Amino acid sequence: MDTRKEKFPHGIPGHNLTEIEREIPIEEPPVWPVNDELKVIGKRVTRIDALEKVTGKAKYTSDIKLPGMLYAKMLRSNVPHAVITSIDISKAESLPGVHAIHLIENVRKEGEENNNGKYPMVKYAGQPLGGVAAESLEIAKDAISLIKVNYEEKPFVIDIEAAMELNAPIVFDEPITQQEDGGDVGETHDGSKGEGNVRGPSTSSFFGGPRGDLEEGFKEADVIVERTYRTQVHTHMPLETHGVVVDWNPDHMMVYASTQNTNAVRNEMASIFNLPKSKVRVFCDFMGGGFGAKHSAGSFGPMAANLAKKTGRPVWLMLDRQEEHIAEGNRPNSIQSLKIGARKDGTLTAIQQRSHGTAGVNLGAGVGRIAQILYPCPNFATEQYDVLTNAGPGAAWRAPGNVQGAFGLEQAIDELAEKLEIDPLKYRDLIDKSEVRKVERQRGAKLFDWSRRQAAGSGKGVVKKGLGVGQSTWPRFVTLDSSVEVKIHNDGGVEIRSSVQDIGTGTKTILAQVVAEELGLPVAAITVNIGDTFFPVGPGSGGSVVTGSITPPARNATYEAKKALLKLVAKKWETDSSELFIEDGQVGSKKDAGLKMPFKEATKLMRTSQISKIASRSNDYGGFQQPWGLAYGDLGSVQFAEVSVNTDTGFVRVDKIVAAHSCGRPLNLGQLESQINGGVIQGVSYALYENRVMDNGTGHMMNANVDQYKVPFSMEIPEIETLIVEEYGARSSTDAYGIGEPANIATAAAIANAVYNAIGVRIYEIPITPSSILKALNKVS
Amino acid sequence: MDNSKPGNLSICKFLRARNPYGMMEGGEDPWLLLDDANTISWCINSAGAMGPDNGLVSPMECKKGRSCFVSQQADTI
Amino acid sequence: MNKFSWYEAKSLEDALQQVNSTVSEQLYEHSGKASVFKSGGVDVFDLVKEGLLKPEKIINIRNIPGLDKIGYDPKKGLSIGSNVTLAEMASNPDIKTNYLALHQAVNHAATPQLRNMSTLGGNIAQRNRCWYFRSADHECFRKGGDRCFARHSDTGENENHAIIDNGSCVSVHASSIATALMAFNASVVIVNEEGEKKEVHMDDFFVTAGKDIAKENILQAKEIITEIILPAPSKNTKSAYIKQVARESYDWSLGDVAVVLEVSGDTCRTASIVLGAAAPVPYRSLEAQQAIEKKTINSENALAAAEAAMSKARPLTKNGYKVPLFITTIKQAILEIS
Repeated sequence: MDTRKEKFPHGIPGHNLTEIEREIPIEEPPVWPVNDELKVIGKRVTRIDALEKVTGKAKYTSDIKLPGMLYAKMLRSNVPHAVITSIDISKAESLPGVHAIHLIENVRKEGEENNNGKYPMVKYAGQPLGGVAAESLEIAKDAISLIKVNYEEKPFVIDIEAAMELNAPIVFDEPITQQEDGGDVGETHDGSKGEGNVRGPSTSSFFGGPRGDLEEGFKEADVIVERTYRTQVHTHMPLETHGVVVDWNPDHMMVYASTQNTNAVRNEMASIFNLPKSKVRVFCDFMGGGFGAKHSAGSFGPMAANLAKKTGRPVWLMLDRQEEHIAEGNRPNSIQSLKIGARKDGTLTAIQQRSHGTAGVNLGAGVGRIAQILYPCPNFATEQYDVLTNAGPGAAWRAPGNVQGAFGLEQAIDELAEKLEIDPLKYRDLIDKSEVRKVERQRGAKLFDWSRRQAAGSGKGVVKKGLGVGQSTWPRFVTLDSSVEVKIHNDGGVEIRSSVQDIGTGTKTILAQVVAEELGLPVAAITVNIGDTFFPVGPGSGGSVVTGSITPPARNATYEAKKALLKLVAKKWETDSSELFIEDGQVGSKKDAGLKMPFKEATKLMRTSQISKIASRSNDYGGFQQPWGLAYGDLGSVQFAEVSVNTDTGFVRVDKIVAAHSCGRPLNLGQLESQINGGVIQGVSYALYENRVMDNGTGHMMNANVDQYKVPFSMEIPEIETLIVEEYGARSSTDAYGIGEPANIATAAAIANAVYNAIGVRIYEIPITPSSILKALNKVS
Repeated sequence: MDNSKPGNLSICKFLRARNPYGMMEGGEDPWLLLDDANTISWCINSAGAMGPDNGLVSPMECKKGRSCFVSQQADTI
Repeated sequence: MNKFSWYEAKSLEDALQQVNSTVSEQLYEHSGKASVFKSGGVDVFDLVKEGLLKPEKIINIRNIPGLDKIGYDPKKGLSIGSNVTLAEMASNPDIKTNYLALHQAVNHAATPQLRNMSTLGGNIAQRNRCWYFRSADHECFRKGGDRCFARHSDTGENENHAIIDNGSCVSVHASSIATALMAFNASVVIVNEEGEKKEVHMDDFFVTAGKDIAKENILQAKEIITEIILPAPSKNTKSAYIKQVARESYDWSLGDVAVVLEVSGDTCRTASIVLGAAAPVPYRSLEAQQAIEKKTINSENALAAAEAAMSKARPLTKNGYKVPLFITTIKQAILEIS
């Protein structure tokens, strides 16, 4: 076997750092020591594109302007459930400046007979029906308002609990079928059979199915907590909306996209338009946020392409804020009942979870796997049901399901600790087997000064302070289909290329750091060209996979390129290339300290104009937990919240969050802190502010804007202190992982626990508003 | 569900997951089957959560036998 | 947004000759041939962008000379031109010294950017922010429709709505500055096409939904606000303003209170107490005024006044929290003066 054995740092510096021997493929680069001994990795390296961003020089998708480009606007339904009887586009067509109108129609396969009708059925208000391309966005909008859609309206249902009723209007009326995993179908929480809007349950995940025997587990329990928790529908609201510019040339389709996944958009467009993947190029240089909703070409991508095809011109199609709220994804709501049993000594004996959620016209409203894996418990079962409603579809939202799940679980654990008369933090020491969270609790508690915490509701005065804690876990996902190309040019330039996009978190910068560290060059010497599907395929920016997937091949490709360069130098110096190294921009020799050659001079030794090496993500050292790329260990976090609650007005203010996180080997502390800050702010927002308000009578979203859909602004953002725990797992050539999702999971639970600590009454539903606080305090009926 | 390996049902070519865990298409390694309760499915043919037959999109339903089903192999390029 | 022509008015006469309708008329009747005013344009353009207002012509009154001055005379009082921006009011030392509640209200309104754009005339004449009223998909009473969506007992999303005088329309007036102006007994100076000026007390400027569902103030098409005048305070006048908002950075009021008291020692001689975001128009609480007048300003009496103010409250399905919110806020505002 072409392997070698090497000793890697393993564990947490300052806690249990040791070494572990791993057998790794021979072509892997030599081990990196801990960050203290590295030059640019783990340091506060300024974003390489910071200046472009803050000066406005950075070009986002909506900034793209091409010769002859048209502007498109989508036609959307304004009723929640209907059959379309006709669409009259005659007035819109004749509006000066309108170049094309494309309506979404059912296309029958050859010879197929069905009753589907000419147009798709309308299942929610805001559903895309077509689009207009015109010389300006204003003309396109005017044209849309001139299109007359005739509907035959049908009964609809918006509210999740109304949709679960036996006589509820049915969203999808095809028969319900038995689930693959044998789960019962359509059973609602009270045991009755839902007639069609309730689907499920899902009882298993990649962490397995039910464990043990719940009944036995609850029999063994001395203490049981049983509660129902509710979370709201939360829309994504990235600053940059969804959108594309499609330039469909005779030889290829060029798609400028605001996307988290250039590769997925490329594959989708190729499949939809029956083009070879090589004829579709997707490009995303700068990205204004996505939070999980931008993994797809959506409906706007194909619409822009169809309009480009009809007009032979490039088409710009960016959604507006209202469309963004309504039609391009949300975090589904949840109603979760959770029952947890423990012995007197605190040992968990059983966890039972049952949830219902609605992702509108879609499935996928589960509450994640956090109750299944955060704390070991021999007896566990979950049943997660989907409830279909006439509302916009959900999409992945920063740790799908788990944010909802953590809100329930981490409050229940708190309540259990109180029943057992144990401090909630100490209780987690008892039941949580994660070493990294143990360190996070210790260091976090010290920074936060957890010892200040008083008994729940014991504060005097109108404004009461409360402290709370919440924990999370997130698997280390790796996308094996992750590749980069590293080029060393004969003018001394170094370039890295991949289709991986920088969602805004600083992927470009960490790639430059990895290449710079390996080549002994300054970060500024590295050119990063990514977000282009003409380059090697990179991962999507989701699942917190990017850092763990793309930095090892980036290092490996650099290492290969470096070896090739050093061979040229070795030849000139008549020595062995294994004796050579690059440090501070100079090639040097271990044997002869007098030998020096500037990097740029070394590149002049090439016979060709460049050295180019491509590497793909290798398997994890020591193997995967699951063979398809689920890594060992977890990205644990512990967050502490301090709140003030005004018991007269009901206003809650989050004063402080301490967020303790781990992500393997941290690559760039500044960027990690920034990403954690973002996750925490979204968590504060989820706990206190954001809420999609739908009118159940008309099926419209009432706050589809930035004015009434409340996100926190500067005054609402608490003091945030981040604490990053270095944790070496010896799993890849960089041993680094992402932090995107973990940063957002525990915050709302920590805040809810802090609110309880402040007022002594538990709030089981978010967002926590003045109304819910005053109701909890019996000041409003 | 067999958890030792992702399922390999012959799911429709046009089914995608709007989740980010990894490779989100069908084919040999259809991640979208792994965590169905948290996976949001999408039909790229109808560009929505509803199939061309006005029915629900999901890995459990977008299979052979459905009128709009197109197999992975039906590559017409 | 529809296409419209732009007219730059050079004088009041010029503007009044051009205009033929009000924004409110247009929202109610949708006649389509309208020429309407805009000053700062903050609200008018919101309505145009939402597709609710489709004017044929917009008459810019922002640059009419002479409407942009703040004048203060210790005997006559304060005069604020209708084109004075909220930002100019926010930094005016006379307002801060003599009309503290107004100063506080202006500084709490909107954002610094919006305060730079907004004019006082436009601020008090703006339309409400009920999300049904602002939605092109909901034809409510105020837009000539046949229902109030927000009041619906099953489906009304009314957490931000009125708890007092909410019989027909349940929106709340959007101007929190008007709350303070009314408490200071301000008057609105209006000029008509003939050049006649009238002074209308703030209490009479706003129109309740019960009186006329189509409008929120008395302004007619051929009228324009030129200034807002506030009587001079005595040396015993004290005031306070508090606005409750979900977000401190920028938000619409969930309940705001302006209190202007004439005091003698720790006794309240006369009281002017106005509530914002409680009713479809800024709401003067005679009950609260009566309850505190001639009384010692203390916690007990302040609470009694606050509770008296809420005696007329009839909350909807989702805004019951506003009652304790107002009780706390009124009490606190009164006590800030003591």
